Amino acid sequence: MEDAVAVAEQVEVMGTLIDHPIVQFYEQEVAHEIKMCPCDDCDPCDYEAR
Amino acid sequence: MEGLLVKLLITPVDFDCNMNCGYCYNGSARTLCETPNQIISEDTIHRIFDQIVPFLKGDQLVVIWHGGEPLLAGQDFYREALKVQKQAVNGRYQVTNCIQTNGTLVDESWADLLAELKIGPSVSVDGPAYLHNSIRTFIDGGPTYDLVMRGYRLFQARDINTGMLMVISQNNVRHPEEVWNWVVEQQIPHFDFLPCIEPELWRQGKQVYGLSSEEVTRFFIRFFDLWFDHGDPKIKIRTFRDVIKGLIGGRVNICSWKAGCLQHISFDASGNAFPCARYHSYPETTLGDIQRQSFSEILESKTTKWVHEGIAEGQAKCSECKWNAICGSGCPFLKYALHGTWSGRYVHCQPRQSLFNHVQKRIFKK
Repeated sequence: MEDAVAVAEQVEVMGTLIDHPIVQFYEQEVAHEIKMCPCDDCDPCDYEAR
Repeated sequence: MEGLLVKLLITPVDFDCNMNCGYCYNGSARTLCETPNQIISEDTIHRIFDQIVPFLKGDQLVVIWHGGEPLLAGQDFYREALKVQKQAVNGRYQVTNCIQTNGTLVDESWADLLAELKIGPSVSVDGPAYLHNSIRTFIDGGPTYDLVMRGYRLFQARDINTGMLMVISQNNVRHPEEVWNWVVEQQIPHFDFLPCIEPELWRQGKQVYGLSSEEVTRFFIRFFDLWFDHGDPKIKIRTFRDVIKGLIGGRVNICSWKAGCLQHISFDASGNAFPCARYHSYPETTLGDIQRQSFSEILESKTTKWVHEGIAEGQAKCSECKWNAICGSGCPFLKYALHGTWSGRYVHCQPRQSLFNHVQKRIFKK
């Protein structure tokens, strides 16, 4: 649930995602990246290099 | 300067290749650089790995073996090079080795070796045989498709995670449906596109195989729709993955979407350092020579400062664009190759904006 909330916060400005298998797949992947990020406020894009 | 690098590119045979693809930029590059074809020496490999390790960022390093055709270096070369790499890293870093190959030289023993050394291959294929063979040929003009796909299947048979890179050129840009149907029929799980640009000819307005912005846009949007409507997330297209992830707040991975070259270094077979392998035919961007200088000296050279500041200034020009966080202002190399400066407009700016707008409309509710 926390993952879904994190993604929802990220996409709030864009609107609501459609129900689609490809969108769901990447939604989960992004949620996982956010969850794995070791600090609370870093840019997820920066996580790759850590 | 500590904690700078995340990716290392090496072209062990420079531009040497057993193929002669119609659009290859390396042919003209070879003349431009007057670089003799050679295999990188063991001493240079030692120097590279020993010198760069103190400058790695985090605990991971990606090494990409590129070309020309990097398999021409031979199997013994890779066994030795990875031994040297292992000694230099000494268990302190997790190293991911990748190789970009045309696939024609891959046989059982090569596939076994890459599996053993855990080198992840990406194979260059331009779609179905009739499209691929009309532009990706051997030096004598002979077709390559069957050998390329044999190599690809040998990797797959060993469960090696294998990518595929397709150059989109005048040869196949009007055939997105045929290319897509081929992807599905061949069960290609993971690939990406590289839109063809011929820098010298682009500047003269005389591209032969290179694409206009409109052609890139049409292909990308049509192909996205074919993939998205098919709806199978097991088929992964790197560009579309990054666009979707970027739009929903995730990270993008492709270097040209985040000026990744600021954290890369590339070495040719002579040990010359560049920001990326694509600069190897632009000698004025040589950052230094690992045979004659320490890596610290290379990082502090005037050329390194000039290149890095130029790239950063180019990125700053896009800071007001609403897509900047996803796009990263485009590939710095292409800006330099086409405009002679990093401040010029990215050649795929319009195609990217069109793609972002299109994907946004498709993945969010109206």
